[in-house]
Amino acid sequence: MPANSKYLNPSFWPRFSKITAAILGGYFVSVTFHLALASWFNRANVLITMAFTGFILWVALMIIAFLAKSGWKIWGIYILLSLLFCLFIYLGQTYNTTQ
Amino acid sequence: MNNRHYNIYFHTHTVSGIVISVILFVIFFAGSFSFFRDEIINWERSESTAITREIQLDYNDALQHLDKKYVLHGRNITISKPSVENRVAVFMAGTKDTLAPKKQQAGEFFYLDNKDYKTYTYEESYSLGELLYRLHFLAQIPYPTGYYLAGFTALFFLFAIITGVLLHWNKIVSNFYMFRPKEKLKTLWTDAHTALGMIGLPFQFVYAVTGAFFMIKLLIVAPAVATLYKGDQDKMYKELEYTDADYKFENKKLAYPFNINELVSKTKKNWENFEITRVFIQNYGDANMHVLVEGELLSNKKFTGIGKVVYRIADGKEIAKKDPIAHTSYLDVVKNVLYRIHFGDYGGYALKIISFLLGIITCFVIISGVMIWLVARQKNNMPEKKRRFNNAVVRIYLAICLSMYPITALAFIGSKIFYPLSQSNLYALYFGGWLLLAIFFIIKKNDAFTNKFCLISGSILGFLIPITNGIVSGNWFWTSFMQNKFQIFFIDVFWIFLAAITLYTAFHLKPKKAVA
Repeated sequence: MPANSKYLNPSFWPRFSKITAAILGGYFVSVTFHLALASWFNRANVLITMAFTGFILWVALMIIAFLAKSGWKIWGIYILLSLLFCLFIYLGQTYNTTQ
Repeated sequence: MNNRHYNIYFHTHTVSGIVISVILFVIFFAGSFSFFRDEIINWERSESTAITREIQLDYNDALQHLDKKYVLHGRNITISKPSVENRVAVFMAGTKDTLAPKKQQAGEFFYLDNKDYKTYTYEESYSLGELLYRLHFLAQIPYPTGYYLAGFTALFFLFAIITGVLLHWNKIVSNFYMFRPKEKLKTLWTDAHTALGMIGLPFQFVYAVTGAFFMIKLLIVAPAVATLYKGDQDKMYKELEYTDADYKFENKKLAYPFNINELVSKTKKNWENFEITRVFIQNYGDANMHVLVEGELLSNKKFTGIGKVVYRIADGKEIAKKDPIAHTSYLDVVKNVLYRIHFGDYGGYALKIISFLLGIITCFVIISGVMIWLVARQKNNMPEKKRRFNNAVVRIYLAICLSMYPITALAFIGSKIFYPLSQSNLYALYFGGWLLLAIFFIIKKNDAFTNKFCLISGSILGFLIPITNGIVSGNWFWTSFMQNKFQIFFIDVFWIFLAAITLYTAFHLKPKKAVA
């Protein structure tokens, strides 16, 4: 039997928001998270680690987005997280001059 | 696990799986054969070669030869060995001498035979092995579409793997031992899908992650370059140790003679079990000529053991040295492991054969997933139109996927009889034949027939491969065994086994009545 549609989103916007949050939002969070780490810690090592953890985290965030109750809410959370990580990247670029 | 989560995993697993299934099948099928790319290349050319990653070349002689043909002065020359065959790859940049004739300022890439120094362009060196290898990342579709398609397929494959495990979590142990082929069709497919999926899980996870990295790494590289390196891409690659140090061209003739063979053997003697894999010559014949000799330890001695020495020719000094035993950084390990575990080239033939089998098992997991999708939707309460649509989807999927087997076997025969088969003829044979066969099955509208026909015709063609080889080249598999032409022997015997297994399968399949 196919999945029980009671738990799925049949209408367009909830579905659209979740799919975009999963693919795009998950990508933004995964990349900014790794770059934030890279701008404060050993840059080369973090970047090469990102070669595999970047994709794994991205996929994990995709799944979380699909589990969320509301697509827009998860978009909001992902945008806030990305902005926070961007702030860390900016601060790291400005103040962390060791590399 | 609550019901809501279960159904979400279920739905996302189904949708992501069904969307990528055909491409993923093509990738895994071609990829499985790619484990034997080097053997296939040697087999096609009726050549055999020492099984080693080390470059086997008289460098001095080869360079002298190339110097006559291309004039090497002022060029940077890289000699490497991308696959285990008699030919090495040579890349020469144009000379840095700005007064040199136009022809010398042009770069060149070709393959060089390590015995007779005959050169071959990429197209002249094209082979079925290369075709299958490149098909497994869809390189025949113009760049970047093919690469991105393959990369995102790998990414969503990772998604399907993880949602599949989550979905299956509660019954992960109990269902592993469950196999009910005699009950109804749906349980046959479900049990096979979950049990084989579990067996292949670590393997598939590795290939999904590394495959995504190879194909869509630009998605993580580009933002890193833009933010952390202020757009300076070279700086990043240098920091990640992907580029070699650059030495300036002084435009003065080198006053000393040099001997590359001696440098190579000197480097090799530094460490035990060290194999030379790349020689990079900068500013050939110039006062500031440098030679980098790079290699690695045998992978059964040390999994990541990359070493190199840079020599300055003018005074013969070693100006840089990387010890493969003492200096292995985290960077080296990650870069090496990501490739090695994907190529499966560190454990000899046993590992290659196991990898091939796991790859084919994955193909079966993909097909059984598609079949579950179909069978689960063949209920009487489904509208007739929808059921017909689903049937058509599966028919097309099976036609495309399963016809790969006879076509691959046919391409082996074709490339043997008509050796050397040019790239365009090979394309016409492989992709043209594939298209025709797929259309035939789609029109025929019988999935059981598609399956049986592909298995039987593939087996017959498979048995004909060693026979064709014997007739055309005289290398029957027993003679190639006795003459120690291992690659030729391996492909012949490999096909005999493969054809025997698929023939056995074809005759033991009993048509099953679909029970809803």
